[in-house]
Amino acid sequence: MRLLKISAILISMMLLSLPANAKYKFSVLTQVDTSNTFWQGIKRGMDDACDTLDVDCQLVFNQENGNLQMQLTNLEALVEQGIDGISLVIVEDNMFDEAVQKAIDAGIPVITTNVDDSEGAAGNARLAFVGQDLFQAGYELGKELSKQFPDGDTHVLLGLSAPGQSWAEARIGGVRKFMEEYKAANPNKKVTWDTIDSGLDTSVTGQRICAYVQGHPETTAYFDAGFWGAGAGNCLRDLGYKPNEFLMGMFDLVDIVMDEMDEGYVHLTIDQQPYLQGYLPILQMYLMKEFGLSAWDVNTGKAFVYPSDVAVVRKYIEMGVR
Amino acid sequence: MISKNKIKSLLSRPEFSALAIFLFLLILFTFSNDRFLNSRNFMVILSTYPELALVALGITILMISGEFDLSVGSVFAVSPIVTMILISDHELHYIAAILIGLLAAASIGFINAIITIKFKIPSFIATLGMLFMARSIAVVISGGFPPSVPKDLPTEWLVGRVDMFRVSIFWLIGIAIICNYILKKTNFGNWIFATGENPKAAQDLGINTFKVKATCFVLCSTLAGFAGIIQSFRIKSVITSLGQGLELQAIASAVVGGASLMGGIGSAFGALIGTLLLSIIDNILILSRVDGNWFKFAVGALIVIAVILNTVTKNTADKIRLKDDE
Repeated sequence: MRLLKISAILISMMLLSLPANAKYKFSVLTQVDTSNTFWQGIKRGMDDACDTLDVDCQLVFNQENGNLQMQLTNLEALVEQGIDGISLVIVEDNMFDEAVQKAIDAGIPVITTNVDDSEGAAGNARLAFVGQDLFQAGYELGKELSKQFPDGDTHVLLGLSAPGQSWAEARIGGVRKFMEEYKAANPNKKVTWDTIDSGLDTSVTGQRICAYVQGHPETTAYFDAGFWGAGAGNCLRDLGYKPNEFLMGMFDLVDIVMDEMDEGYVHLTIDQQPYLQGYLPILQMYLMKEFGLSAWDVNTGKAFVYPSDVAVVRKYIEMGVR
Repeated sequence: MISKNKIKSLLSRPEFSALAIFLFLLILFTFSNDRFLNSRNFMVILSTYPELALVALGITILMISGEFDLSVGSVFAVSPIVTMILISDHELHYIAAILIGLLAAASIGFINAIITIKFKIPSFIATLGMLFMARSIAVVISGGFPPSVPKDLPTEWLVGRVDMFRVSIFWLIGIAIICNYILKKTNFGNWIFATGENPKAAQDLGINTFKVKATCFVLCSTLAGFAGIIQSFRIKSVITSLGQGLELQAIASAVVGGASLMGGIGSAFGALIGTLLLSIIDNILILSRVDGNWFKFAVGALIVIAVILNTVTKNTADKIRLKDDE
């Protein structure tokens, strides 16, 4: 009985915490679960936009990380419910086509955020994309870090964090494309690379990178599809690598990446500005509803962050906006 | 000449198959890759090993008692997040903060026990629910952004380096010896096996199976929380996704190490060997430049082979006993 009372109180508290009736109701759907640090930045942007515009927003996390069917079911439920606007991630090119088309046909604006259909507007009926050009960002990461490659042969390790997931494939695909061009441009150098399933956990990824590097000491640099590669700093020190002796480039701004930049084990990261990926879709959907304006694509960035930028960037990370 | 009894005794040990596979792979990998058997590689393997093995150890003991826990991955995150919030935001002494972090983990274990045993809900369901709840708690209490690990936090006593080892390996060895002693040499250890093998018969013998299982649940969660604290101290970072998917890895380690999902079978040594096996498989896949898409296949195949081998050796041991009886 006591348990029932506690449950009733908790449910009441949750219901009371929901906002009062707002003019518009928008939802953001992701394929990840609540523990994804990066998505907390998107949520912060969404929350700020919704507070500013006084609209009712909900970020729908998945109960199971990466379960796309679950995300699709959530999307279909929202379309049936007749919501005012939907922003979502599309990491699989075909699965969401029908549901998105149904939403558009029902007059519900749909904007993709963070990750888009790999064919863009040609592959899906969504109205616009707010996020990073993943393939291009991977290419730029490779190109920028290559400026620090030492003389002599180059062997690079590519960390495909989630094989089969379009965001990881696109980013590492971009790096790979650059490496092919780099190889062609340097015929006198031996340029090679390997790709591993680096995982989605800093500890696991760190261990895999170090295992590879100790087995292949000729490795010059490592590229990660996300931020998990920063977990290698610790074991690289254990292996006796001095700061700046082994190059690492990755994506996103999280504490561990900043820490390892300070230590000299991460040399470049690309900020895709998750705050904007949460803020701008809400703003666009509001403007479409309120003033009949149209949606527009936004490339939230390929902003390079170097170790020298850490002090400045940290301030914004602590605010939860980068 | 080795007697039949000795062979039977050897084959009956739950960790026998895992040990046999481990030795086989150790030899195979040593000859197939000259970078495998060297101190630098083992330094890499052993850096994360204590964290995984501690979780597998807790799961194994719980499985022997006839239950299992899917929430260990989430507890692995909750404990260090609680600890770090207390250290960074409330300026609590780090030892007190760690103890409270472990208490939080133990409390989750106790709640798992209450839900499972008092409400007679299968531990699969109860701890599946706790997996989600605990992960959510980790996100809510940290606001999605857990505090950084203070740079001046004394971590040497837990994860400092001693030659090629980290101190955490000695914590693991100490805890494993204690667990092994409890399982093999104490009444409580016998009660755990009896409860797992046949709870009704155990109750008839006067064993308080609730207390036995509740203790195992609490131990399992506490070890998961402690492992999470070790990892956060080692990588000097806490993120809310810490330990995600660890529950399946820990159960896989326990099963490969000979623990039975039906209860009543398993050993502390088996948990350590099972974890080590999965770690070296992962390691050799990296060293051998195996295509990333094949990683999960190799781990899955190992689990199936280990369980088949467990069954075969157990049946062989049973047949030897039958012949003796004749």
